Amino acid sequence: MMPSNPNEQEDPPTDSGLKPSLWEAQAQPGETVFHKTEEEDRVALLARLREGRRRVTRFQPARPSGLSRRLD
Amino acid sequence: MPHEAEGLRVYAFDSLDNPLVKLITGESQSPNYIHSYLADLQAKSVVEEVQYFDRDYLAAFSAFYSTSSAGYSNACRRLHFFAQEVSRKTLETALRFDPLRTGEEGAVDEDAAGQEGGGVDDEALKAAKGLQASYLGFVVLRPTKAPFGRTVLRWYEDDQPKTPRVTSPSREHVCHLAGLPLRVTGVAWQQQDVGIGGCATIAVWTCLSSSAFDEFHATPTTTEITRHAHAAPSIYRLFPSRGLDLPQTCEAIRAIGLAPIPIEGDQFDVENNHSYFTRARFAHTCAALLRSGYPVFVAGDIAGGLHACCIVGFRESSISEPKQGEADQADEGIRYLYLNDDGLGPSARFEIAEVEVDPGGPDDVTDQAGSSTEPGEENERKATPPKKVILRLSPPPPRNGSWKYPADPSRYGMLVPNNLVVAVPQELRLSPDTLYQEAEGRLRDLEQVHEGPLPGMVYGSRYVKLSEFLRLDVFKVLRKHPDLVAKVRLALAETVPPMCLHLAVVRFVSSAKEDTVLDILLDTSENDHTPVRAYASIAYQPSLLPLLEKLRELAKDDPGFDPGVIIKAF
Repeated sequence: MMPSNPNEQEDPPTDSGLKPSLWEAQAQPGETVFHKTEEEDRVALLARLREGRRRVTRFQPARPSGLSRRLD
Repeated sequence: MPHEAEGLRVYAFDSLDNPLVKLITGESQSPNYIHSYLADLQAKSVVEEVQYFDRDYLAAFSAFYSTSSAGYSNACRRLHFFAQEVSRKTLETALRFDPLRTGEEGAVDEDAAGQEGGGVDDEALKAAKGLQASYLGFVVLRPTKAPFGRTVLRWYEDDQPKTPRVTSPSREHVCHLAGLPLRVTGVAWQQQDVGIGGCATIAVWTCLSSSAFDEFHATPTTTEITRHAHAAPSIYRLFPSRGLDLPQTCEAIRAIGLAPIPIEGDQFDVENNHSYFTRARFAHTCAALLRSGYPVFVAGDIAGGLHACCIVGFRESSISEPKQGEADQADEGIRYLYLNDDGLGPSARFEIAEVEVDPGGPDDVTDQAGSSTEPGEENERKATPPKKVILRLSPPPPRNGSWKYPADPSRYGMLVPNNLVVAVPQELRLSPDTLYQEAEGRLRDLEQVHEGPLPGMVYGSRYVKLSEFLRLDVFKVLRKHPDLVAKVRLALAETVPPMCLHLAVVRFVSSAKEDTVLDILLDTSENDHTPVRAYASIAYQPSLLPLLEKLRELAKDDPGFDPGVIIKAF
């Protein structure tokens, strides 16, 4: 069997005080409250949505530099 | 001269007779690294198969070594490592094992305790199970100047369950010691063999050894990878290989029926003449892919030239604590990656660090003494470039006393990733960059239909197989509510139009409450452009429902905002 330090079994996990990662977090139904916008102007809302999408981060290669460099 | 039969040999791990110790000469870091790694796993014994035919080496022998006048053998040796004292007597007892009483796929299942008792040879089963439980992995030793062939070692125990080590590319390898099946889960590694391939060849081989491709094909040999890479007209010689460039790397992936996604750094360092990555993009790209089992080929500058290696895992980071109205991209906090490096070994821990970049170039406003000029027009003309991601070897402290033969980390002080390449199935078309944009876009959508600032949110995205999302992810997020687990699984199976095999998921978590509030499932099988079609949105909070319904309604005018079928998970 895997030998182990007997004390090790009783040690708490080293991340016991931390928040979980995004993919380990669980749902807590009813805990977080959202409020729908009161905006009734459909055209204005669509315009804001489109503007929000236009502001997202876009990545472009800095320079087409690496594609012919040999890796040895 | 024909090979002659030779018996198994057993050594104490700490003995100077241990074949691994005999390889420690200072010329290569790999024996030192592997010895330290196994010492941390509390290795106690080594069993050597003196004659072992290895598929990868036989291909290399056929292509190259067989025609050398040096007289290479076509046989390798194989070392098995155990975290228990193993003697000849232990082996003799274990090898009495009854294959009909062993676990799945013939391997001895260490959990199969219920099978003991009532049989004629419980002692044999116990010994065989003991060997399996203490099995740490194997190393194939080639009879060449670079001896380390195919190597699979167990991962360290993970003692951080809230921020686990993600090792999805790992898969189970079953090998047989005199007929006794032994299992080890890891990602295959081998040392660069300069006759057959360079670092890039080995990195591609590791990528293609991933669990993600088990159903597609057998892992190609390094010889096959080098041949595939040179299928197109090339001025370079096949064998001995002098390495691959990035188009050849992509071609080797394409040749076995997978799709390469090349990702080039989005920033440029004028002074050092190389492209580089920013932390947010680099960490997100690696994590989104690794979580689904796709290792990441990384090419970059290292002391002494260009280098390639393969990222095979990472350590998750805790969710951050953004204020109300703010949102953080979760993967930006990732600190450690695990690399298979052909000059070092498997699963080496590297830290993602950042360094400042000199603006450089003809417009540089820094004077010759190195001090900045006064604020003014010129300073505004030349913005400070974003920080540059570097990878730095950052081994954890020894777990089992000090290392007898520590590796020299100096070569790995600064690897600057310039390019990433990932092999994915052909039908997965959504690139990591587009997924990143789409995740941010979905956050912006929520902000617009919310009255006032959103609660502090952390969000991120990943690829996942549909079956895996249904099996594991839905369970993990709703594990305290079994009825909801079933409800969501059924809703996804019965109310959502047919989904593709490989999904992308965007997740939102309310940081203050550590509360998963929303998953959006995206189509990865269409063109690689935003907006990306959402199949479904799983709302884990009742108050989120009106926002999603509002978006669904607005999507009649602009389908890009459609959250897909809304599933209530509350």
